[in-house]
Amino acid sequence: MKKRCFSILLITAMASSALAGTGAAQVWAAEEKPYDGTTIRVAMQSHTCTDIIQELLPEFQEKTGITVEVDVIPQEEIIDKAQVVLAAGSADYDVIMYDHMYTTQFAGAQWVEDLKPYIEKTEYDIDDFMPGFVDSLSYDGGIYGIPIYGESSILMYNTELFEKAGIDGAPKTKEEFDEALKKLDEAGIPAIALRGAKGQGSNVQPWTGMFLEMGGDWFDKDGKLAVNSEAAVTALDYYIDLMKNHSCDGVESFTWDQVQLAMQQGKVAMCIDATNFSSRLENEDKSTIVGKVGYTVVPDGMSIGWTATWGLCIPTAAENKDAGWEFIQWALNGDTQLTSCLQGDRCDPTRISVMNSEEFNERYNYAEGQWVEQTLAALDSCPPDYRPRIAQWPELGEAMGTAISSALAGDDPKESLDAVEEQFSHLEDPNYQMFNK
Amino acid sequence: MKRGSFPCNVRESCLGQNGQKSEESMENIKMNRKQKIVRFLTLESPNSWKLLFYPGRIVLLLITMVPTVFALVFSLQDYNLAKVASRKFVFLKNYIDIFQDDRFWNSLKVTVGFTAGSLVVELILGMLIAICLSKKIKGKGLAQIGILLPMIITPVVVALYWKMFYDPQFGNLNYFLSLAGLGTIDPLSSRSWVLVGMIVVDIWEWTPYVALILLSGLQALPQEPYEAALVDGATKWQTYRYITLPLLKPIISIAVVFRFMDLFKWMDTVYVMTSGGPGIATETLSYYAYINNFKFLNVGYASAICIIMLLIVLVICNTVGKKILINRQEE
Repeated sequence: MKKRCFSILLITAMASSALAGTGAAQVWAAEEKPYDGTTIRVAMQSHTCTDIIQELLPEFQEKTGITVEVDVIPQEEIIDKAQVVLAAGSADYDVIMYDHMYTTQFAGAQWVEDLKPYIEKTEYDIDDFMPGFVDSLSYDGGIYGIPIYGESSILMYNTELFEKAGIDGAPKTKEEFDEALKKLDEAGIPAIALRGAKGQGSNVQPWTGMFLEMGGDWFDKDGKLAVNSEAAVTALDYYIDLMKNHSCDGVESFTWDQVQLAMQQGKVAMCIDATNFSSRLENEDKSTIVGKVGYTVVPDGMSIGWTATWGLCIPTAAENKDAGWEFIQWALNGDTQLTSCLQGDRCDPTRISVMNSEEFNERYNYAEGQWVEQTLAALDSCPPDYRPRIAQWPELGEAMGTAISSALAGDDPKESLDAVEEQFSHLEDPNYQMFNK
Repeated sequence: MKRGSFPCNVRESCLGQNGQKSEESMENIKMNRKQKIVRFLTLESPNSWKLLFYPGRIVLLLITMVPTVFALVFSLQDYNLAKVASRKFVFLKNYIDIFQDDRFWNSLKVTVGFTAGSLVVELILGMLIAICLSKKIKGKGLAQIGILLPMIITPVVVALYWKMFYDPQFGNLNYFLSLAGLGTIDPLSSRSWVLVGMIVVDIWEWTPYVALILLSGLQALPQEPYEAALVDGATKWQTYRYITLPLLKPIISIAVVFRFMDLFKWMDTVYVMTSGGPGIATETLSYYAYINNFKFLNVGYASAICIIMLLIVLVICNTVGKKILINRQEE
């Protein structure tokens, strides 16, 4: 059973192109400038949506008089930096962009503000955001981050290579997928690229989809960690088989950008990765396979789509919280988000109204609308606890990444997973909602 | 000169006023104090060494000893940044945990393997390069500048360059291998090759440094023993083995100590190239301490690892250092 956390998306899909105009009391849209002259510092991940927000910043500065200094930090480093800044209680940043997997840690340690009072105070239209993403950034009833971008994963395939191997159409089930593997092997084409480098955001991502789809759960009925279950081993075996026997050379150290590169260069026939790959796969400057990509939800029985989102939060120790909130409101506002999608290379908005707008659908009309359709379907079925949102996730995720990487390098899969189970034998999560009930 | 004459004049005039009225003796004391300060500042008083010694000493204490003491205190605590409330002294518990931690032993093994592998090759290659450069050859100046380049480049850039070089899809290494008709290899994702691949990077980057130290040693060697050897009819190898090497021993020891300290805390290349992978095959002590501190926020445990590293480096450098000193005394 797949959880339907994003169902609202499909219900309202294509419903209207009107952006939600709320009449909320945002200062940035009003005449007066109460924060004129304030300077705020913002830490943001290096990402296409950050690029475009930086470009649009003069507009915000003009409207509010707030000067924004943006520190752009790569994905791998921003969390380390945020943790240190937050733990030290430093007022270095007024707004920080963070991975939803750290919500529990940040909120639990009271490092970041609960944004609910801010939302109420300014009547911000939080309901327009995809509920699954907001849910991912919530903890214990509070909302600690407002989603800036969000993604799931889908299967992308090179139609030209598929034709060459004699495969017609997208594989919809595991059987069809395995059949396609066989045909691609016979044609001598590397079949699939997945993330292989170790890390909670790297090799853990594709493996988890298989783990959950093949009947596994992070915690069992009694809330005990269950990462060495039969399903976990089956999934790991399958993952290793794909990487060892049906992929290109060096896939063991691939991060997402190398998966993307292999796909762009036509070196591999399929990949399962982030939904927002499409805008780079379909970009003539970067890709050799423009117009030759097919999109489909990950095959049934093989894997499920993941959930990943990043949000903007306000540290408890920040000095200009209200000015920071002004920035968040503006940066994630419907108009800004739509403009960023249309002007920039980003197709992972978090607002339903943007995703449903005509302009967006026109701009990202890949494979005759196939991409939007399949992305919505993927977002509809991915669970918020794809990776468990527990405070110990950084340690557990790191250990899982190491175990998967070790098994890929030749260790016994079962033993690798046993080692993690043993290391975290004390770990329990009675509140975990099981995926396979 | 000002420095020599001025204090002497002051001294004479002061002495001349000695033993007169009390008002004058007050003056005298004042003069004396002024004179003392002047002499102290012009480095002529016997206590002037303090002026040279203490400022450096205090700065050194502040930037090295204070953090070390902090690390020592943290290493005795159960201190997690995410759970600051439960911070308390646990004394040796972190150390006991470390000695039972397989991953710590693995990282120690990796560190020792890497250090030994790199050090030996760097010394041999460095020596060969130094000998070549000490000869009178054409284009020597250019070569000397050329070999310094890898050392000047930022380590992170070096790591990125080599990561691209090793890339199995788009890297140069496999391109050349394929030209030669050999299969593809990916050093960074194979457990048996990854350490070798990383050692090669370090050799490329730091052999010039060793060569530079040894070259300066070679150029400072006295000529007489060589002339004597020539007279005695020693072969080239004998000259090298029984004159150059023994004379160069202190310089070699210095190169070994410097490189050892650097290699032992090897971190940047690992961080950029493999993040300790595949599995934990390239996880060094520094990297393990880093993930404990910055990923798991476990400051106590990470501090304990660092203290252990410090002890190992201290013991080894002390042993090697003492050997140099004793050798010198014997000479």
